[in-house]
Amino acid sequence: MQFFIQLFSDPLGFYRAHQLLLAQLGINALLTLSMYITLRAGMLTLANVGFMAVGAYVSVLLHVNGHLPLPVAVLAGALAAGLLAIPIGIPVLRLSGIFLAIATIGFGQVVVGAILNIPITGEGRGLTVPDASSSLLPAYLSLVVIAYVLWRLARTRLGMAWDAVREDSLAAEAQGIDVARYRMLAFVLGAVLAGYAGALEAHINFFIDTSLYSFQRVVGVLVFATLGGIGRVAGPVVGSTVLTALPEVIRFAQSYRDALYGVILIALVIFRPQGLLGGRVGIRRVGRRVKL
Amino acid sequence: MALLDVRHLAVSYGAIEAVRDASLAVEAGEIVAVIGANGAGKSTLLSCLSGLVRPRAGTAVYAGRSLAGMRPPEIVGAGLVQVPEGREVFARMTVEENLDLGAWRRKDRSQVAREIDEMLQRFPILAGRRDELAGNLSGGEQQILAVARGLLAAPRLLLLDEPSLGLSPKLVDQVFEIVDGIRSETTSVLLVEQNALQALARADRAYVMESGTTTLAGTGKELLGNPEVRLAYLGL
Repeated sequence: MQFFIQLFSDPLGFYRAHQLLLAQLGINALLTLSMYITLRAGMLTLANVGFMAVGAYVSVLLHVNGHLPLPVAVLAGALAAGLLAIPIGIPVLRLSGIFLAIATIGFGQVVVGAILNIPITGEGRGLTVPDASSSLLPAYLSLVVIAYVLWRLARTRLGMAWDAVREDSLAAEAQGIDVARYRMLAFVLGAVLAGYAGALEAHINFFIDTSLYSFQRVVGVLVFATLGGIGRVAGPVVGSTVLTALPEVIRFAQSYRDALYGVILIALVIFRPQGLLGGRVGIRRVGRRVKL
Repeated sequence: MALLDVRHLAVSYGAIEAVRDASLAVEAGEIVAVIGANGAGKSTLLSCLSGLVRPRAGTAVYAGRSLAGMRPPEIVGAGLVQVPEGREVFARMTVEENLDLGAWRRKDRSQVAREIDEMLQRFPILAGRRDELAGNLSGGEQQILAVARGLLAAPRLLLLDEPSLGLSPKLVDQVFEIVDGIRSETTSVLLVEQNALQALARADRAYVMESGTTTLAGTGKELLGNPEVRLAYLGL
């Protein structure tokens, strides 16, 4: 209760007290949206946290060692993650379902392993970003823009192809939809967005190390996306926000906090299997398809 | 030259030979049926023609082009369209969206919108259910939707995989009337069926497939009168 009372009675004090949490909310929402893209195309890939690490390390190294301006370094990090997604996707996207999930988990582990062994990444010691800015504006502004773009995208030809591939990839193929191409596109776009979220996070936090890209986080993002529901773009945002803030909100439970968090997750899955928001995409009319 | 000319086609799934030696032809404007028991390789034959599985041997030439080097989207683009077995409609999309997806490769959007309206009138069972989720339709309605969706791709050759599977006798009649109505100067039909009686009665020509091999060929009437066929597939 304390959490909400302060939010409304003393917003500025709330902001100061919870700045880290607020940053985390924005970053996790972006990361969960990257998961939304691949889920929307019917792929259970768990590579996004790995791409996040790639985006973070590339952008920090370009900024700190390469002296690139911050915004350029962040975008370059996102791009690097997207480029890496192509050679990864070619073999891995031949798989589907649980096999795709396992293969992509493997990718995340390889990224962390590489970071721990390549000297320029600081190996286990992590990297610091001395002149970063703790402003939350870039994260929240990006979130608004990206959520809007994805919302529009759902009603374009691309969104329709993703829906068809997710619903029934065999039937989609029989209609002449290039299933492999649309899956690859979702995988790469998801990687770009995850890389972007990682790069932003690095600069907001001033510091990165491999603990940010743990398997626990991989599972966490999947839970955020699933419990938010992928029928709408707002689903993953709400899911990640509620579940990221939840540990803070239930702080009163003290040492029972983790247990309470687990109970809430179980309850959500049982009572809202379609996600917090659920629902399906709006109906598309022929000839009135939106252009982005 | 035939619209579709298949010679000595063979398809394997690993060590399993689903199609051993299939040869058949479809002329423009024909309805051609392939009948045979469950597991004879009929569905695999169709999936191979639409590019979903690769042949191990043999040739398939469609409209003068070898299908071997073509990917499924190109094959659909060239007018060879498969209606998959088992009513594979997009269950959580509306009837209209399903039809729209059938016309995926077409650029003439306003013509497509008109054809969707026509299609809904042509199949009264679908009319008035435009915004219904396809998954809420009955089995027969889904089958008709799947055929209508295939037609929206503007096919020159429509491949129908067991369109009567699991339907009530009345609906089977309806589906076969639709198949009859599809055939025109510009659209031919290659039909794979276990319901041999109906298929042979409607087809111009037909083939019998046994353990992956096309063994008998003839007009629909000839095969209907063939004692072997009568015994094995018609139970007469």
